[in-house]
Amino acid sequence: MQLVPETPVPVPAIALTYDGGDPGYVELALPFIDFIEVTPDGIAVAGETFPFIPEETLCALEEFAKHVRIVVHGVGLSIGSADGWSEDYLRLLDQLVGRIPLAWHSEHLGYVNVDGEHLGTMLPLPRTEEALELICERVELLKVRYDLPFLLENIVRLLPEPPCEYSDATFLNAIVERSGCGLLLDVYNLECDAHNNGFAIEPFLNELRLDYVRELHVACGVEHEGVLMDVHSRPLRESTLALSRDIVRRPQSKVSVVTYELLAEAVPVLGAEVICHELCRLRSSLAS
Amino acid sequence: MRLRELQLGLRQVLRHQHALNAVNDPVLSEYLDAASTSSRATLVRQIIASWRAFDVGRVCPLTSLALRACGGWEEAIAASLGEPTPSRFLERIGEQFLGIAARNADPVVASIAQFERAYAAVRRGSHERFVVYWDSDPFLIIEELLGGSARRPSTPVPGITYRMTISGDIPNMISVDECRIEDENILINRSIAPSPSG
Repeated sequence: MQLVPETPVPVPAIALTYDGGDPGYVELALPFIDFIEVTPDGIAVAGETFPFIPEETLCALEEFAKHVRIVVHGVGLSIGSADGWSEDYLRLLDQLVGRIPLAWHSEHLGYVNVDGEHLGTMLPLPRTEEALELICERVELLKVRYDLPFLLENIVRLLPEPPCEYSDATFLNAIVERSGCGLLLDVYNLECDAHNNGFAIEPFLNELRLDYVRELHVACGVEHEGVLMDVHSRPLRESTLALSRDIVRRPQSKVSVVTYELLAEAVPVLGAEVICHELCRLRSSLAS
Repeated sequence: MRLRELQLGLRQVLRHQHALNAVNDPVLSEYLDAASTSSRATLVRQIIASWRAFDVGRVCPLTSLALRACGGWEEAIAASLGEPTPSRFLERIGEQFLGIAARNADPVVASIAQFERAYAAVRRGSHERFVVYWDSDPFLIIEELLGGSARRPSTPVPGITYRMTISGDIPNMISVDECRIEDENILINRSIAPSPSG
């Protein structure tokens, strides 16, 4: 399974997230996008026994798939949970894979569950050999289960960092080199870590296997008590656009899609007009 | 530092239940002690609580209004976060929250939560027949809450209770009887209906 395209795409395609709620804004955004990124957990309902994606939602996605390509980006797999990942999430992914033609699927390099209990937040993994082996093993299981490329996304670090054996870049490099999965680089998350923790973006990008980065996420959140939060709720900052351009234009880059991330709760606040404007702005920025 | 122990420890940190020096592994203990007392841990707990309050407000609107009017909203959110959360789905979060609120010491909050829980179950297709007792007219209580009242919406009458039955085989799924209490027996006075505006 070829996970990284042989030839780089000159100007990346543009994607918009859909993680539940009224899909009306997605319909309005169709002329401005090439991809929709769907969050299985966001579009599912709890169900009596286990979560499932309603038939009407699957039909809506089938309709969207006639106009744009679809990728999946999960929140609830909890691929980094030591005691096991979420089978509920995999059932949702099974539903989507069985109905919708998908280009790839992705998840966060972290965990949301511990001992079957949802934490209420997502935590990053310690960059240790044990964590590396766990992730690579699970990526392999995903490759066997789904004949589909898989990407892992960097997440923000708010809590103090535990002792680690790898740097941020070498940890991601080890994952992709051992497992063959790709990377989804969240540009705004890099900015959050730089602002909050003094994370050095340039050395990180110089060290990272950029040829494994297939997709970028761009977003904007809020600052709370001096901390930049990765809440996907606002129009994009110019710094995020500039950093995205930088990454896309690096010689090793094979980024094919840049995705504007928005929480479902933020959509009615921003409105379809602002969202579509941001999509145009993103495309123009990457093409300039 | 084993991954599983780290994750278990951080779960306790986020639930504000980490005890200092309680972990055998000295490296892990040192890290968890530092993490638990950090300002960042406080921030993450605030974020978790904010999202829980937001979610509960969406999925349990009446109980949320009742807690804000009667007092105890923040305590109820903290109580729900202190118990294991099995799922990120709103329906499960709502069920857990209503289960706690249904045991609230305030009878208005308890009745509202029991009602909201029962109504949601019947709407999902439950064939069970639920009974909720109120200390005053439930229709007036709900009307007052939905009208945005900030004060405690209940004027109990001694010796009177209201028995609400929630079931899928009842017209509009709800029936209410005003009852009098005599020698620990509950006797029906009359059936009541919502006001025309309710």
